[in-house]
Amino acid sequence: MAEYMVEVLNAVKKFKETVALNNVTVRFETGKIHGIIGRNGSGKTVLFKCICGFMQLTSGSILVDGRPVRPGTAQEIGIIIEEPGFIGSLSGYQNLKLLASIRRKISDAEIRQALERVGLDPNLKKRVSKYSLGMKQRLGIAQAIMEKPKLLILDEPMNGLDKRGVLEIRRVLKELNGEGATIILSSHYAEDIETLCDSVYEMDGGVLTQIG
Amino acid sequence: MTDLKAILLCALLNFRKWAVNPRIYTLAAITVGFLAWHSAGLSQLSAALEVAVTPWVFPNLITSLAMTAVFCCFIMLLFCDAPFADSHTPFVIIRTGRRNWAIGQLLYIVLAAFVYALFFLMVSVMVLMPNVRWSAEWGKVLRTIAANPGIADNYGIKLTIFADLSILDMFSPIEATLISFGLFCLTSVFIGVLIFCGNVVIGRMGGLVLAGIFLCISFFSAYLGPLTLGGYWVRYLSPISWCSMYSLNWGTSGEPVSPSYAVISLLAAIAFMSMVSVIAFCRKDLNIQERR
Repeated sequence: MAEYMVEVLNAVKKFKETVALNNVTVRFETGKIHGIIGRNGSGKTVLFKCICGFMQLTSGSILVDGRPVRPGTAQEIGIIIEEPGFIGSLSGYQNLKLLASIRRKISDAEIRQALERVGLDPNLKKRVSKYSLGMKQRLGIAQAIMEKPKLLILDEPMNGLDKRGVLEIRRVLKELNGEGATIILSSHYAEDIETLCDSVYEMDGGVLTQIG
Repeated sequence: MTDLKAILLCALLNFRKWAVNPRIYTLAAITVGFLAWHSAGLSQLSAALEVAVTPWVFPNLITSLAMTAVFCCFIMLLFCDAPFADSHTPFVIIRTGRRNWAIGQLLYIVLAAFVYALFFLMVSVMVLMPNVRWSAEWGKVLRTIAANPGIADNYGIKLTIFADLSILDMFSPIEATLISFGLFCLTSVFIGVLIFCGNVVIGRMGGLVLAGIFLCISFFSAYLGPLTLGGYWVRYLSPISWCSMYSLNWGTSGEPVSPSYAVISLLAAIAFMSMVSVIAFCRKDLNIQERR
């Protein structure tokens, strides 16, 4: 395994005249939790999307686990980017089972375990369209962690969660990190960053600076 | 790497979303409504003649330009949001890769076109009830309106479905239905892939605008083209017109476009646009989610 799970090298991303990433260079160490704070529109989500291969850099490069990101191919990353969406007519368990059938890496028991881990009942028959925002967010986290990826990219993972939910998810993220996962997350809550992260960065106007 | 199971799964996922997609219910409802209206005259004529209609109405449904336009609009409604990306898509793409996902969406267009054509076929028979009876032949009603299109006027009935005696004589009902079904599917896939390609390459709504342009070409080819350009060559550039066997040259109709030209052109256009769509989709930024 590479020393750095994610290496972003001289990354520039422009949308016409707007510079979303301004020559960003950062190395996220393997096995740590990294936090990024910043205002809305500062470029955090764009950076996450570039790491996942959802967006292409204007210039520069990104390596994940030592390999360059190629937008056309699948990636072994667990993600939540912005609002998690699911098939509303299915239950939470059915949604995860459907997603798990793509990689075919985990069993039904592991899907159930992921749901229980985030505080959702795997036997709940309720359709996802009837879920509250907090339940959808928990389900989003469950889909990100169920296949135990080496890298988790979580954009505002605590959105929509109540206080108890936030504490539960913090505990889950700590556990996953203890099991070897590298986690890069952004959050509006300073407490999340302080409690969870080994290193902290601030994104402002497309410029990333390490602040802790 | 191409993963056939992942591609199939991506295609089938879209069908799962039909259950919570109001657009699909709307399309189903207006299709039933339209076909009920379209077939009402035939049903009334059948009752007036006291002879049941056979179920082979499907090949005769799209015989006019207005019906071609309606058909095109229905297919545009079915595929208007191609490439069908929503907030669920990133979770799938991260697992399948963009290429497999995009090919899956193209496969969905093919399967959805088939399912919609099947629905169209079944509803076209159901709306004729109770005046429909099974027969392996075309039946008296269809043959009568083919031989004497003005017969409905004698009963004060307005017919919107027409038939051509040369087609009825040349093909058995099952042959004509299979050919029409194939053309319906192929043209639907063409429109779907055109919208997919346009939306991906040009941007949001680009595909719908392109489909609209092709719809205009089909009108132009039928009305203005022959008058202004002195010939029917515009029909060769109007793939949407080829959705009905009535618009092709089977040796008797005087239409310029041959069936083999239509099928080969549609297949070539679908294959070309599919390749362009997949390549463009893999290079494009995926920016589909809305902020809370």
